[in-house]
Amino acid sequence: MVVGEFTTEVDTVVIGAGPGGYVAAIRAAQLGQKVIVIEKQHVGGVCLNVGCIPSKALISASHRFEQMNHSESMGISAENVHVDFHKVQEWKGQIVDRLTSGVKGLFKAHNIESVEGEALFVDSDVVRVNHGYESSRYKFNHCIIATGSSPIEIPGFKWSSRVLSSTGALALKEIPKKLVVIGGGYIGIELSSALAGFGTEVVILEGSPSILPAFEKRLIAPVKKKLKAKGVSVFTKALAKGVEETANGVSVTAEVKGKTQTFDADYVMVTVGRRPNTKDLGLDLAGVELGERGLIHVDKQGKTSNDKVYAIGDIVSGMALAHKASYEGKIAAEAISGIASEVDYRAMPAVVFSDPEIASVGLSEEEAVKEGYEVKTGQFPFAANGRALSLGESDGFLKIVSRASDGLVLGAQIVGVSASDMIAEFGLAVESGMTVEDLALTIHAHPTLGEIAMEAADVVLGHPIHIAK
Amino acid sequence: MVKNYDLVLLGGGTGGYVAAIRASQLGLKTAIVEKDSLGGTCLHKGCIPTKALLRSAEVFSEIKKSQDFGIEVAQVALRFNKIQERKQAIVNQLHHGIQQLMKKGKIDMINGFGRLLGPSIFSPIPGSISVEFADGRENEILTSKNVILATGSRPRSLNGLAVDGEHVLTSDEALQLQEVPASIVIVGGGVIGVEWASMLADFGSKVTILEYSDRIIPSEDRTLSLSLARSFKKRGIQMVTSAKLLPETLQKENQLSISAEVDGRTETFSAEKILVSVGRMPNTEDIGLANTSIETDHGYIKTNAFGQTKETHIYAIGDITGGLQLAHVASHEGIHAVEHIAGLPVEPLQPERVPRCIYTHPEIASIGLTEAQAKKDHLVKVGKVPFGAIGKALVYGDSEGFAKVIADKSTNDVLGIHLYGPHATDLIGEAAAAKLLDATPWELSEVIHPHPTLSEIIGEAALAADGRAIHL
Ligand SMILES: Cc1cc2nc3c(=O)[nH]c(=O)nc-3n(C[C@H](O)[C@H](O)[C@H](O)COP(=O)(O)OP(=O)(O)OC[C@H]3O[C@@H](n4cnc5c(N)ncnc54)[C@H](O)[C@@H]3O)c2cc1C
Ligand SMILES: Cc1cc2nc3c(=O)[nH]c(=O)nc-3n(C[C@H](O)[C@H](O)[C@H](O)COP(=O)(O)OP(=O)(O)OC[C@H]3O[C@@H](n4cnc5c(N)ncnc54)[C@H](O)[C@@H]3O)c2cc1C
Repeated sequence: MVVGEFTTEVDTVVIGAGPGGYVAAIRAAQLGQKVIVIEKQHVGGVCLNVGCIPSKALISASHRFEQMNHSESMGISAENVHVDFHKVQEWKGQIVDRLTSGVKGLFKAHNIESVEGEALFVDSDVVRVNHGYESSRYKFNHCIIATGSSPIEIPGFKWSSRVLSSTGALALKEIPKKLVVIGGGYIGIELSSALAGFGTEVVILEGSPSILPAFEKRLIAPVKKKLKAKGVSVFTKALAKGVEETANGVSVTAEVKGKTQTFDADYVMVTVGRRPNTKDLGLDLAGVELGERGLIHVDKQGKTSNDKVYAIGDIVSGMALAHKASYEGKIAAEAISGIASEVDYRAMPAVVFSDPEIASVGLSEEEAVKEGYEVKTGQFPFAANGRALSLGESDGFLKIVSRASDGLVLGAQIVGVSASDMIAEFGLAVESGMTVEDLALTIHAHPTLGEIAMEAADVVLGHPIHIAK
Repeated sequence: MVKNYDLVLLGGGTGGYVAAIRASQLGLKTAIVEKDSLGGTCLHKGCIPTKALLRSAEVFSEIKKSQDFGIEVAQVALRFNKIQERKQAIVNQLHHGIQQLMKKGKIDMINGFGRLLGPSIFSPIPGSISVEFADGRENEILTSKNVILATGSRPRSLNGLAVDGEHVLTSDEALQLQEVPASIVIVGGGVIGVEWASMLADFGSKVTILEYSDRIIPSEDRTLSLSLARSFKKRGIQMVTSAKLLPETLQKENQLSISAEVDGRTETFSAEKILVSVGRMPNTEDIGLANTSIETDHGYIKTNAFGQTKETHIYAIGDITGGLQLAHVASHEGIHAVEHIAGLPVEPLQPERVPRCIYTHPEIASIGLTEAQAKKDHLVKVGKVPFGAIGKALVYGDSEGFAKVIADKSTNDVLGIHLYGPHATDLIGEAAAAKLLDATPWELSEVIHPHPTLSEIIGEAALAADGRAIHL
């Protein structure tokens, strides 16, 4: 023990102030607990600082830039459009600042104490926080671990000023002329698409046979088409071997379908996945057991092998998504407050902010069949929707997967403009056990994209209005 | 010539053509009588063309604000003829699509003006339809087991203020404008009036709205009216409420000028054009209603909950029945009428389940009761969350607005949802599904909204109604 170290007793300690941790803290405080949150870096976590928010800001700016370059078709001529990337980054920074200071304000409003420093367990109910040369100890009734994840570094690609993680790419000071992206998962695709929109020539190297391998093939087709139109080249079955830094760039070597190729670029970005931040937490001292791949094993309330300790977000199994972290945070906060909440992932949506967007919730057709359902599906194209046409964004379709016997909505997948907002209705449908008939009976306003949901439901029922069989 | 059908639709607008498709799916031998173009007001003079123009206006104003994002542009200019061409191309594409659907459904299209006949040699009961053709050839007579009247509506004009199509316009003529007027007075600040105001202001017109009531969009929740007015004001749109127009004061010289009585004083407004958007009139005067026992109220046809008129084999749907004059109401009433004719179980349309969208900037979308309406019969709780608290709105670069969820304090039923802000019209679909389910705020808050999306605001406002907001 450090001399002068002081132990404070609290109801609940939350480690990590990302979307998992800060939401858990607020919910626990709402339920009457005295909460402290320990954060070693930035309140808001990956999501607000180097994840969801800054990446979507770049995507948004890039989208505007493209829109301006293509506004001729809207009857608008914009001349000499150019990007001041320094200002783009400044704007992005302002949004991040506004949101993170918003979270800090919420901590204050809920009487949550925010402590800066790195936390580690020293006992089954004590954490120590190191900040600089000082440290303090907190003895808790309950602890919620929400330490999130970090980008995976692969052999041969040590992070540098030219070998970037997503974090590095989001902080770029210039628009690269050429960029090699290793990993065509959602983070790789989103950032590739944004930078390509700004004019970067992007090469994606993906190890598996397709980009976005987690999604159905047909959903990816419109995204692939758009990437191609933006000048992005995609190499699948490509294994990155190594990188050599040159005077002002990189040279990446990869084995593409068995043949060795090199790709020269200004930068290489490696987005091959993330690993949970569970190594240096002293979990053994807390009696918290780790499962596979460094993930913490938890029950349906988020409880670990230590009854007093819960874990949420990217450090537990399942999709590494912000809203999943927040959801688990709420459940854990309720559980330690004596409310019998449990997680239910049936209605957990996933979104890719590609161009066009992809969004899904519930089961895909393949998953539903695998689970033994006899399914009935229905699809409806954006091109047959008046709103999509008037927006000038008619690529894509919406697909509903339902149980054949009674029309219960099992899931939905969307690729198209505003898919990220449209999926919410299906979240409600899956969550509350709606049938396709309910969706068809829901009056959708005209002309809105929401009508696509209704028409797809009508397709399942066999009587769509705006497409003929 | 006499032709026989199971069902004849008088009018091929949104209500009529959708009903025809449903009828053909159910195996009915169906015909549509349409005097102009399939698709009606909505496709040719309403929803679709205005939304196409509004989209160009939106992109134009976004481009002008792009420095905020760090995107610079030397010069932006409108090519209004291109904007009109794009609008027309979209209308044509959809029009073509509907015609294909009619062919595939084997629905007969009769291009003429139809009127109901009374009992005649063709049929002992009223409801045969006589179709008059523009080229003067002999009328066709259609007899049918059932008829659905779907003749829609047209712009209402003001006594003493003649629409000349050049200076004084309705939305019909405004859609054909070949250039952006430098200034315009819009008479009537309802849905159509505010959409035009928003669009023309974005295109650079100097806009003045004269509204009779004490606020614009008076049928919507008060906070929506006030917020839109605030936003309009910032954009330089002048609004004069509680204004009683004096049509006889119209003068056409270089400019038009017209006066209104405001707070007991007379004020005069001048502009290049005047747009009259004071509501719509049902097209029921000349369709032979007198030959039947069908009843009307101020020209609107009276029906029961299934759309049946006093002549129970004749139905009426859409704008001619009054109520909410919206395309999706017309199409749903059309489907319901056909299903009722076919003997299928039908649940009558409930106005609280009908979403209402206004495509101004920012957009408005609402469903169910306003707060004032709700307070009449309920003890209410209200959750209101600004878009500024939603990360995606900031990222999108447009965070003006809010979501408001109104619920009954004791039963917890959601009574109304009001959205004002970016993509409001995309977000209302979930709200409509929630109304169908009679969901509670708690159920809405249990929906996992993906992050970062605008839809998070609905979950957050639902939490706020229960006093459990996370981000507030
Ligand atoms: C580029 C990118 C884009 C993304 N886009 C999306 C998206 O659009 N939608 C989506 O849903 N998800 C997205 N994600 C994923 C999302 O960011 C994560 O799923 C989410 O942040 C996980 O939340 P969390 O609370 O579990 O952890 P994190 O957000 O990682 O937060 C953990 C926090 O704990 C702190 N911490 C760690 N160890 C300690 C310690 N010992 N002591 C004190 N503090 C500690 C960290 O500093 C960090 O602030 C994206 C991720 C990236 C990288
Ligand atoms: C500018 C504007 C914008 C609008 N925007 C929206 C919006 O965004 N969303 C929305 O929901 N609603 C909107 N509306 C309202 C919407 O257009 C109407 O509610 C909808 O068109 C009503 O459909 P309907 O079938 O009842 O009639 P209509 O669409 O008016 O169709 C009636 C048809 O009947 C034909 N007809 C009439 N009399 C005869 C006859 N005797 N013989 C043969 N044919 C005949 C007409 O030619 C017409 O084609 C808008 C309206 C306007 C004017």
